[in-house]
Amino acid sequence: MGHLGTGFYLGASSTFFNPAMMGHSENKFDLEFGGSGIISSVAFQNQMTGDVSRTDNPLGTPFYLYGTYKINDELTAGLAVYTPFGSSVVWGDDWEGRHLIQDISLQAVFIQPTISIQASEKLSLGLGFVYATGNVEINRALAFQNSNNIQSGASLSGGANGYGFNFGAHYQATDKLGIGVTYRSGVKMELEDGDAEFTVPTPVQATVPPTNTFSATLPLPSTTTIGISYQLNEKLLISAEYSNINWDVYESLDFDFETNTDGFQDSENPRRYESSSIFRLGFQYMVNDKLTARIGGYYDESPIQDDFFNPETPNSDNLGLTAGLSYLFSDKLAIDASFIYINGLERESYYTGNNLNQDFGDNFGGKYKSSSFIPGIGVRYNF
Amino acid sequence: MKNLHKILYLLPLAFAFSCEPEFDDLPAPTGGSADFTNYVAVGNSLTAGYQSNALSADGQLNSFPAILSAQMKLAGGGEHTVPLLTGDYGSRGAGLDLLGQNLIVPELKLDYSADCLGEISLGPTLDGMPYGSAQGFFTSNATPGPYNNYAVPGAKSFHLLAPGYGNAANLANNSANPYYVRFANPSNNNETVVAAAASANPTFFSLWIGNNDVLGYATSGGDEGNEQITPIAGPAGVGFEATYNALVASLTANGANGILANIPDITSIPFFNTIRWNNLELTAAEATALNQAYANYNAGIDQAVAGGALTENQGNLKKINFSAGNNAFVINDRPGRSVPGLPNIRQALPRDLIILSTPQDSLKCAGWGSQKGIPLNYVLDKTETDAIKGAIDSYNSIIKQAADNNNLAFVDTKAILEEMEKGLSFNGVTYSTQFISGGAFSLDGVHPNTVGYAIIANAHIDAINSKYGSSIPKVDVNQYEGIVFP
Repeated sequence: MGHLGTGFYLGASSTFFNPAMMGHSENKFDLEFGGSGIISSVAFQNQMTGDVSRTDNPLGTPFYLYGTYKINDELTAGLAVYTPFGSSVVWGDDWEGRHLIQDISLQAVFIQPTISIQASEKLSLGLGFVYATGNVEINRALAFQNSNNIQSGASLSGGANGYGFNFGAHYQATDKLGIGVTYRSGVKMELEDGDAEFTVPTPVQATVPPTNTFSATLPLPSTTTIGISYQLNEKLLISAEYSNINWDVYESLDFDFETNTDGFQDSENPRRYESSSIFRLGFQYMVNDKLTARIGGYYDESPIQDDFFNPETPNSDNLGLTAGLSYLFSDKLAIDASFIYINGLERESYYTGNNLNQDFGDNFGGKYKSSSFIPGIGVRYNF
Repeated sequence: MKNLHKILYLLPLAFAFSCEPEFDDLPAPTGGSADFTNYVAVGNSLTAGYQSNALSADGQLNSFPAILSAQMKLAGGGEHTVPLLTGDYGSRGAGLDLLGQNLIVPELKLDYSADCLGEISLGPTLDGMPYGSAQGFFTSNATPGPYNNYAVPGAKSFHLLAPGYGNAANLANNSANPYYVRFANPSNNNETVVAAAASANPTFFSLWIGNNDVLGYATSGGDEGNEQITPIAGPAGVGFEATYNALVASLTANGANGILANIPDITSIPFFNTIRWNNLELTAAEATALNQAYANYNAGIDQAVAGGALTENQGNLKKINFSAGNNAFVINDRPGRSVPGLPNIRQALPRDLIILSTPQDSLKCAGWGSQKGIPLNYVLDKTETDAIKGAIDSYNSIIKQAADNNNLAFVDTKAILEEMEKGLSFNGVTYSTQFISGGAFSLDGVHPNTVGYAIIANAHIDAINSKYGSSIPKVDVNQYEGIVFP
């Protein structure tokens, strides 16, 4: 229903959406787990030649596991394991932007033990500690040419981890109206001792060491959300949310290499993201005792400026449409099915990087457009 | 059968799954107000496609006019015929000997070789043996004219107006150029280069000339060489201004549109910036030994200062002093600055440019730059670089004026080279003026490689598109051959 849940109780997944509401369950123990498959495709059109390149992305597989345990009427403990940031973009080894990116894979798993209290009849609060762990792999082409036509390139990979927290508050103003606020902190993913492999012609290896290590910091942004929900009648609930994501922490992607030479320095790659907003709207309809249907949509602003748009993370403004069904097989067991379609709106953007004021160079770019289909399935169990 | 209905409802959804993002097609490129059906290029080695100290068939097919005309073809342009070199000259290239022995040599390639100390390192080496005789070269031409490229390596501005510049009979007295003799009009071998180009009846032309008017002086070491900077004043065929305007008049006589390119600051090219003024590396022991060897010389300079023959400042400039690490080379000093009884030397200053063709073996094994001065014809000092820069500024204002007066497109190649000194980025790859590692200059340190020529072609395309409202697409310079490592 628009991937929202700040303003009303959704089940154990509130551990993620708004931990303040974990205690709103009527059960002692709630468990939810599931996953989805991201089928995504990004297309690029060179505005000089008209040539079109397309990604060949592998199936993305985000997953989640949420569990809550009601200690007493005031106190609830929970655990959430989820994958809020992930990206797999494969443009191919030979495409025209290969010197910026051939393929990238980013995965982050957040593990979040959480506690919530019912502060008063109407007000509940929740706080979770986040441990994030992930890994990244990036492949880029390098411009060195050799006589046997072996493509030069850089392959960087490593594991990263970081810490953060997830805070939520919920106020049930009336029987029908709920208001929620959440703040999910930023997480600085610190990558140490990553592997950097450089395939370069033999004579260049004195300058560019073929094996190296590197460190980097990948700042994941904080998200502040305010949401309201309103129970229109017994069957229909409507909810709206506004989120602000402080993507402006992603100023630059810098690789600090262990071994530098006169001709091989650390790599600084400006990103200059700007903070962005997401607007969501969703409806939940109880078809009957067993079946609940959800539908929604959202508009997710791209944090990327038009002259710092790198095909490594080709995010346009996204229009998302969501639909979901929950079916209760028994009092204890329910199955959730969901479907999201994301339309990445067409934009014409370029990557100027470190070359802000050049008259004669060419910054890589053109038109980008994307679409994603994300079917998902989940199980809910309580006792 | 009732269920089948439901499946049919789902079919459009399945179709949506397979749908990928699509774009509108771009409008087809157009020539705007220009007509590219017969594009003719006129110039020197830079227009011919000379690189790595030679002209080869491969270089000719990857010249900036060849790259440009392939893009013009998308916007209504025609065929591009060039006088292709044949045989060995075509495949290994034909260049002038860097050591000045009047041999025709093949192009340079990057390979390993041993120096005088027996150390093996990677560097530009000749692609095989020099040619035994130049005779065959004068007829090495696969293609009858008329051509779309009338560029002659080595030509200065006035050479394009010189009758007999392509007549083999004039080779003996050096008033003909073997590169023009190759393809000069067989029925009129005294025809000037510009007359031949004009009689090809261009609908569009490019003219990039004037580089050699300063480069010949610069690469032969300035005042000590046997070439002069072409003066600004003087009649057509002598002075740059009248010559240049006569060339433009010939090429525009039939109403052709065209583009004029100015002259980059040649003192920025790798040829003058690779052997740096302070590249003399010494150990502490070597520095001490050299300082002892120069003790008498330095005492002599002190005496000359004490006696009033030199000012203190002049004396300090001439004194020689080394320490461990990087040191300024010892170079020969200008003739007017000698002290009787002492070698006329000084240590190089940051503004002194040492040319790339200074023999490495002499630097490493014969004491050049340390035990004795590097001869002056391998060094451009400030007086000489000032003269070069001054001439380039004058030429460039004449070229810009000619473009304005004749309503022609203008490409600022001087600005390209200035940007490239700081690093010029194309689709994520940054090129610079560094020798070899910069990626855009060929192995002679003077001429671009094909990547560099693609950059020049793109700059021409931008200037033509903005002048004539055409939409010639630019090229992806990273697709072209740059420095190829073994």
